[in-house]
Amino acid sequence: MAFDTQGLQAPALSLAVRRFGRLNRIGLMSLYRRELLRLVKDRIDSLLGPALATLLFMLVLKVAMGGQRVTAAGLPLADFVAPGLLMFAAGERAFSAGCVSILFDKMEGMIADVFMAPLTAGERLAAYGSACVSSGLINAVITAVVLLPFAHLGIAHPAALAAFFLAGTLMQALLGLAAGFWGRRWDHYAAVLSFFLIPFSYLSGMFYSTTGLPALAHNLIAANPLYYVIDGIRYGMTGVSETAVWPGLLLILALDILLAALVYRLFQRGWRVKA
Amino acid sequence: MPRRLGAVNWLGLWTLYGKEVRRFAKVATQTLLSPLVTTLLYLLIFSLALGRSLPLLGGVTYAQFLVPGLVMMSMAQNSFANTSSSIVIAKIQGNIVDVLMPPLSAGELTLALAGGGLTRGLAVGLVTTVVVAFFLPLPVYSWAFLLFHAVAASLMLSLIGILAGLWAEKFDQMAAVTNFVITPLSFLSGAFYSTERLPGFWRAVAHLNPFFYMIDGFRYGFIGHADGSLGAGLAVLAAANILLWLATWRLIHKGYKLRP
Repeated sequence: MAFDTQGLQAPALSLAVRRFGRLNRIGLMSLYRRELLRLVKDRIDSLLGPALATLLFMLVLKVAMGGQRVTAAGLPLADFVAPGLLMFAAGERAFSAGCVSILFDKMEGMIADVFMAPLTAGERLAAYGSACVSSGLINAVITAVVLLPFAHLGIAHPAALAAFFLAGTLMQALLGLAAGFWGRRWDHYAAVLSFFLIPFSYLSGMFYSTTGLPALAHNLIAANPLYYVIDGIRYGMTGVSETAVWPGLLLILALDILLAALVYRLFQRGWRVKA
Repeated sequence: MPRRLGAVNWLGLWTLYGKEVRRFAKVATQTLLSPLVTTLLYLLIFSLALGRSLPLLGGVTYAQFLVPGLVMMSMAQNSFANTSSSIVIAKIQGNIVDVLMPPLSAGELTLALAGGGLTRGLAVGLVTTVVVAFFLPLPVYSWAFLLFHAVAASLMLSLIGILAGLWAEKFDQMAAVTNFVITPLSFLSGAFYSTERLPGFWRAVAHLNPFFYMIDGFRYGFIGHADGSLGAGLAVLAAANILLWLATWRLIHKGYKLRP
């Protein structure tokens, strides 16, 4: 033979059904890696952009306070706001990662690659969900580095901090995936961002203490699950909380389970994906 | 017989301007409603976080101080977004030829595109101010300053948007300009605080920034108090607009990144 035939020889021709075992590990890891590579590929916009936005918020608050000592719930304002900004960085990224990924592949007609592959709905959910959460956590770490000179970032209760961060980021990731299934055009993504994600994130008691707010505002914020996430993270970092921490965690975990069941169902049925 | 257009191709100019306006009016939820929601949220969170503890600034409450800055920020970002996205999308999709082939001069193109951005900026400013006025008493000290700064700022950002649109070849580059230039400049130009709070050196830097003068003068139109010199502000804004106009006209005339 004049040319190399190595690539042409099938290893062992078998027409039997390929066996994956209980879990298609290769498929799951491939999908996870592909999703994470998207983040790395446009790192300037998806990693530095949000970190810069958070930095701007912090700078603006610092300058606006001037020499004044502004406190919230007994903490200096910068320390009070930092946990919320970290959660915002993680949550916003996890949400966008999931939403953009599904929506983009749908519009480009590439989503067939995921739905044709021998992956169960559960494996798809696990791969997408964990990739979105990973992106969110990477973003939170970068944001923490950026915020270090401006706020005291301590760890008072590591377990609470980790639990709330994971549960909160997962919640946003699942919401993002659901929004990705729902959307059909880029307009829908823009609408979800400005009319759902941004109000949902900002009206969460991230910038101000809820004590002393009018009853209506207080109740509105108390109805936002993110309020409990941010409060829990603040408890993990500073030891100060406004709500009962552990019941808050149970609430978030319950929501995570509900949302996971919903998104599982979406993957299973291929809602707005399969004809 | 060639068609005669006269000194100015009014019909062409008006048509392109109309296209630019319809482009954003068609998706008004994204281009008018969404900036409105953002501004209201900023107003709410900043006045809740700081308004309760800060003393009066220039004789008005922190929320009243904040409104002109937020409205101006929104106008600036939307004017920029209108012209820049219009050009980048047309370049990427290839339909920029529809704008370049008709008998329109560089001056007419500049005017029509900038006019579209100006219209969006003013529309966003008007809608936001009217809605905010329902919640918060807004004084008006000088209509002349208010209008001059609204127009000068929207026009300036529309022109910067054209330049950015000409330069960028991909959406990523456009997003980078928005994230790393326009957003920081508009955030750090005194929308949220009085520059009197800045330490000496940074105050001097802030007073060199044209974005500072558009916010400061616009706020003066509402509350009758300015941090910087009003005369310097008028001069800086006028000069910036003239220079940007000439630069834009020149680049479109040369076909910079438009024609091979």
